[in-house]
Amino acid sequence: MPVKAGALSIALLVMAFLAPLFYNAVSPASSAEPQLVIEQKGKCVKETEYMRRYHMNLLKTARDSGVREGVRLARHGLKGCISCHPKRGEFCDRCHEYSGVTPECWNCHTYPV
Amino acid sequence: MLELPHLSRITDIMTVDRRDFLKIGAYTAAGSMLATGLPAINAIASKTAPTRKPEESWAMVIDVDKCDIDCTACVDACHKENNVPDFPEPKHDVHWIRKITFKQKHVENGEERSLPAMCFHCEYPPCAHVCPVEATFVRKDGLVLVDKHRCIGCRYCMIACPYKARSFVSRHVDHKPTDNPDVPIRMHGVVEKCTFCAHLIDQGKEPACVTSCAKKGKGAMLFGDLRDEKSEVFELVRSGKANRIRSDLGLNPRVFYLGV
Amino acid sequence: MTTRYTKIDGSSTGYRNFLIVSGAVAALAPLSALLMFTNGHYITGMNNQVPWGMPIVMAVYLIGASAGSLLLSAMSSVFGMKEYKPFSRMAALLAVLLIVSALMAIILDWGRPDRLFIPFFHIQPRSMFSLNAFLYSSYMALGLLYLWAMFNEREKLEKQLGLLAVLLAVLVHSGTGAIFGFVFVRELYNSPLLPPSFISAALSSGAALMILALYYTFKFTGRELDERHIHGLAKLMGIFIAVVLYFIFIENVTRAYAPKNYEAASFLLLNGGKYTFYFWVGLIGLGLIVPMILVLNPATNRSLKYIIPAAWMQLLGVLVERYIIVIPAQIMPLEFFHDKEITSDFLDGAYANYSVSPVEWAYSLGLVGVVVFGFAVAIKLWPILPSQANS
Repeated sequence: MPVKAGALSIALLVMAFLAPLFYNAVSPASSAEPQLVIEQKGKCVKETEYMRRYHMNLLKTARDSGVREGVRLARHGLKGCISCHPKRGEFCDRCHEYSGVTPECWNCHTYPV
Repeated sequence: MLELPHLSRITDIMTVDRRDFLKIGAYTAAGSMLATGLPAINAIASKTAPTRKPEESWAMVIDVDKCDIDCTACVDACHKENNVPDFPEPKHDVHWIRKITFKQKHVENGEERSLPAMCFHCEYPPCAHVCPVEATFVRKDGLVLVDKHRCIGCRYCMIACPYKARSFVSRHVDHKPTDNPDVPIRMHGVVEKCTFCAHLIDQGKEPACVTSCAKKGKGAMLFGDLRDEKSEVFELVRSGKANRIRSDLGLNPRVFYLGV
Repeated sequence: MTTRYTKIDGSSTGYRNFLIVSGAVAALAPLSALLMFTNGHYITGMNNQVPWGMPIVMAVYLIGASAGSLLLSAMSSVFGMKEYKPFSRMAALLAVLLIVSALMAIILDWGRPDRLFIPFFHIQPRSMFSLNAFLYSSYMALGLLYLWAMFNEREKLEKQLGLLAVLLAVLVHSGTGAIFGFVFVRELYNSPLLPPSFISAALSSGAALMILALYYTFKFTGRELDERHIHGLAKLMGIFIAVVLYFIFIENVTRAYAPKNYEAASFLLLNGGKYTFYFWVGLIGLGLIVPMILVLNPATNRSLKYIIPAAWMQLLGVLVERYIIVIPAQIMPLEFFHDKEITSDFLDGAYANYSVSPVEWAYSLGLVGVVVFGFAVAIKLWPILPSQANS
């Protein structure tokens, strides 16, 4: 009896871990890649591919150097983002929703929706 | 992090040799250096950025004789500039700067006077010494700041601060259309306090309270750099006329008062 | 003589009901913490004048009881006092449960408990909190290892780990005392005597806790209890209470001697309203002197009729002691000028108010529930209780 219960609970645990895979397999094909509105064409502080992957690192660096050392990296911080992408609803949120992340930046920082 | 030559600036002026104490502090702090190194990406990002030279040592001198008891220009300006929240109960309300009314003890009908009190940005800040995560730290120019991205809300700093300069955000705060977009609001559960308007200082401006006092008050507040020997602040501090509150504690605050 | 340990049977309805009730009480802790986190701390009695309230009192209290239990547990293996062997497992288990509960008390009281791991990545060696993060977590790990060694009858390892645990328990609770003792800006905190005084209070409350745990578990599991164990523990408790009294006496006399502290000393000892009452009646009278007399007086110290109430009084008395240490220092206004009265919008210069809110009561009760529930579960899962406690 205990052996059975143990096997059952392990099986349930494995199922729970794999649930997202099952969910994706049966749900309709994922929505298309998010479309970003980029009003100001031109180059960001880094090339697009880099920004897509690593913008959070740049933001974090700008944050830490601004807060802790007083070196304000204006172009690399949130202010820099706003200057080219004035609406976060048409920029930040689209990818964040697509990839299911919820950054806490605008809980405190002002970034128009 | 302690920066030896720089932080001892106030003491240089006061001609007290505290270098040995500073050394002890530096050794204790050395262990924490490892943990705070910025990631390598910092190097990439700051290649083009201006590097800040730790040349300033900010201080404030407040002339209490010029401070009117019913004037709140500094408080209003500060709370507007820094989006300081307004909570209904006085015991939970957040204060970055407040007007303190004082009179002599044991004196009948003693004269009531007032002074503004904010974070005094001590040279040896007990709040920063007790902060378990270095969320409160001393910037190179001597400002004691709270990194609200890192604060865990343990409130040890509020216990350690003798000036009650700190407030805990005990309610949820929302963005308001009237907010100053240059200063973020704070999420509940962190500790906040006066920053000497670090965001304005970094643009070469003076703190909001000082500007407002000059414009709407009698110009009781002076702000300046103790490294600049031509500044009024330096002159007043060196003259020995300016006192600090609770100097018996030995914290070396950066806010000096004249006439009290 | 060897002691045999057995699991409890745990099939009675009484046990099941006990689990349900204590589990429900334990659930109060995370639930009230969730309330504090989602609403903000304004729903508690804590405020900008009194930033530390009942959660910190409980944390300090639980850490103390934990350190005391662990020290008692190590009596037999480290100090060779074989008469304490039968309950060394119980004591070690309680030590682990109490430190878990204490860590909950601290962390869930943070404004941002979601930043749980930050203290492990950013270290500030000057901060007692930062050091304690490492002391407490290693203490917990060591406690578990020590228990494991006991379960597996690894006597040599048990002795080594026990010695290490004794050292760590002393450090842990000294560190807890230092959280307050090192705060030099508040007269009622600043004292080099707090770390040692905390350790003696830990031992006395640990002994009281052990007496009660022994008495009640043996009563409810129907095992045969040799009263001599209780007598030994009661005597120990009496001695430690005397040490606590000594420390409290010295600390307060030293403080009251300096004119700059007259205000603080008289607030605590003479005219502090409810705090003075708690100090003299709750702590000194009912918490320390009465139980000390009960367990040291030959006329009463052979009877459980007196020892059990004495243990309860001491256990609650130490809670009052923690309250008296944590709270009044924050009630006292901070002085800006020695010779001037001050007032402001921020309640400067005024005595602050603090009363324990319902959320904090639920939180504190829940933390106790966590320990009781954990204990009840563990004695069914592992051989912790001696099958009979006589030597």
